[in-house]
Amino acid sequence: MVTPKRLLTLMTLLLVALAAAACGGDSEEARGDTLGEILDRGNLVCGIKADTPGFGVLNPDGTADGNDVEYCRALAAAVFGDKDKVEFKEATSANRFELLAAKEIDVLIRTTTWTASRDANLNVAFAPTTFYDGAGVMVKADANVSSVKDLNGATICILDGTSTQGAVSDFFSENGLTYSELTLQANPEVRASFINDQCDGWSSDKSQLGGHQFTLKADGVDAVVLPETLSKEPLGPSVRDYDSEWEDVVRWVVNGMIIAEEQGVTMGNVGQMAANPPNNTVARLLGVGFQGGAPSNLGIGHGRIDSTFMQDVIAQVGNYGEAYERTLERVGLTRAGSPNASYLDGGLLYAPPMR
Amino acid sequence: MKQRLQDIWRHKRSRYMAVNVTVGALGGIVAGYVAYSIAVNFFDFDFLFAPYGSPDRSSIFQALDIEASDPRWLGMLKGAGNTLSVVGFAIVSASLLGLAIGVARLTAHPLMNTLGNLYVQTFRNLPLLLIMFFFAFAVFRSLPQIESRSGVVGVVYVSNRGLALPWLEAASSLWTLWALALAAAVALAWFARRWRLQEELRTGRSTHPNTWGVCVFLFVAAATYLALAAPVRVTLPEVTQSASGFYTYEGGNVLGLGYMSAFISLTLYFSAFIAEIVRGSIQAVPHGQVEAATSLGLSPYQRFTLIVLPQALRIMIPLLNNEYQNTNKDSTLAHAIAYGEIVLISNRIVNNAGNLLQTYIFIFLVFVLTNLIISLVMNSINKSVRIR
Repeated sequence: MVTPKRLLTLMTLLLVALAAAACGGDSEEARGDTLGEILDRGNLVCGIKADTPGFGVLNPDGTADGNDVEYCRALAAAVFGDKDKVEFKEATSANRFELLAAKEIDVLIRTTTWTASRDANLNVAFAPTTFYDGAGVMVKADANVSSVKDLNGATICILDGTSTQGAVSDFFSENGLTYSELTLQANPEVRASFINDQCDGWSSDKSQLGGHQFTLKADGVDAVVLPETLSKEPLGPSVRDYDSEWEDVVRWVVNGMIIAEEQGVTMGNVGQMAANPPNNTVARLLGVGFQGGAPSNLGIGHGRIDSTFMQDVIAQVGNYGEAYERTLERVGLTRAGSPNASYLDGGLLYAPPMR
Repeated sequence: MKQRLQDIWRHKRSRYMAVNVTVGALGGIVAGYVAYSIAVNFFDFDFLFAPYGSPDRSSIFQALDIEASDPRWLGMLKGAGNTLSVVGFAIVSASLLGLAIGVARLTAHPLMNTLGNLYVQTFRNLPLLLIMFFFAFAVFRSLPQIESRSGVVGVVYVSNRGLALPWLEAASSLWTLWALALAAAVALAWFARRWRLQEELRTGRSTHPNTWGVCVFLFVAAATYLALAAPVRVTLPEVTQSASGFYTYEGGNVLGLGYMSAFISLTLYFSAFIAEIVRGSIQAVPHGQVEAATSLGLSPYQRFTLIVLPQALRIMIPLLNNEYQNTNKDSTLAHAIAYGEIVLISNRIVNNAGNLLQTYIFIFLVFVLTNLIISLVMNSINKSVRIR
């Protein structure tokens, strides 16, 4: 006879065993070689957002658009010389880090904020920031408010599992304000709740609010994004810990695209620049020799990808500004004057040298 | 040789020995591995003491609202409390509704019969998650706006922000004493009822044991309420507008859309199964019992309450146990409609701290424990109704 008490003891033992077994697997933390796996497989698997105009939209036919998507394509171009050798997988805010840790995706490019607790505790390493963002609040245009501080007592819609929840909580408690939170699990639900006045404000990263403001207007709903920025949200690609070779590739493709823009290397002139580089910086970026000298090889990928990988990236995807122009500028996220302008123009975008 | 092997297998003791050795060896391997793993990577539980980080007020009890400054372990406990507060009420309401529909399906009245059948076939065949989505996104989103003050003004409001109800709140710190007094009142009422029942058996005259029980309870409750100078008062909800024009509910208790959707969906879904259990169990009582009761001159009501229902209960209770445990487990689906139950609360921690294993072990333990408690309660009820 199995009494409940005995069953409980048994179950506890079993759980501890399961836990220990799973934990044992976790701790091995062996050096990964994602670059090798991608080369063997013949394509790159990229985790993106499915429903955010400007950053990541996954279409029903498997194609995708958005700034995050451009970086997926740039990585495919760097590894295979072909920007289309990439498969897109939807990563939600709830499952993104598990998808990455379980090797379901090679790289996560999905408006993911680089934070200390994620860096320290999750199996994730962050590549350079591709977009400097911050949490904001959007309200309907007919609401009589001009600042987040006017939102005392309001109900705010937030996507569950995002760092925005913490940012809003911090801002309101620091300013002695109260609010109610309505959390939802996907952007279309947040949007419907906002339209139906289930909440007075919609909080998310400002860039995304810009995209949503754009599509809301198309549906006849006027909304305004309030001026305050509640938090720092640097967004960029991330890869698994202990996988430095692949991490280097991701890091330097992003840096390379930023440097290309600084040097004026574009989709249109990259061939000409490679044949006749104007200076050493461009020559090193494109993996060619300057004034007939020996071609440069920076060692990214240690011979497993071409030393001229940035030529493929720029020829097929373009530099940072061109990718931005095609995706984010189109949903109304003006780059000029924002933190995402180049440091040469007073923005934050600055890449370490490629040499 | 083959013959000898078959002999060993046919011999009961050697067969048992084989099972013992296999299970023992497997157990030994698992236990060894557990010890090794714990020794190699000792669990880190520091993350439990960091603050939860963002508030969650989808609970129906203020005490279970999670504040941003709460430590994570407290957040998880409150999440478990939220699970229990939806499961507990859903089990009660699904049982009552299920009983009514199950009985309706047995009546000779064709309309009641058809409606009961329609209800059961509808909700039994829909996925629970779909019912939750339907209420959360279709029904509640189309409710009136909060500023329209729909409902009974000053008492009950309904809007797409939730259902605001009158509620009890503590008027003084003596309310805990009164809660204890209520528990004592229940115990006293039970003793009073038992005493009257014994009297009834002894004298053979009706002594109204149930009326006595209720009266004793009411008397003790009212007397202690007055003695403690009204420790609890009723608070009524009100729709208020903030300085910058935003409407909120104040006072009373607001049942959020997450809770309402989860509660209604669990009730509708599981009442359909319970209705079938009720119907089946009543039909399983042999018809001869009813005939015998009729020949003794019992009225239809007496036949049902004294003869059929007690026998049907014996069949029903093990099956109900199953459904109650399912209600408990399936309440986790409510994380999809952002009700702050244990899985949702824990997933937020996992998203920031990443300690998935420790967090999920806690969830496992919560469900194993609560399901065992449901089992224990149902088993003791089962014992009390069995043939002695």
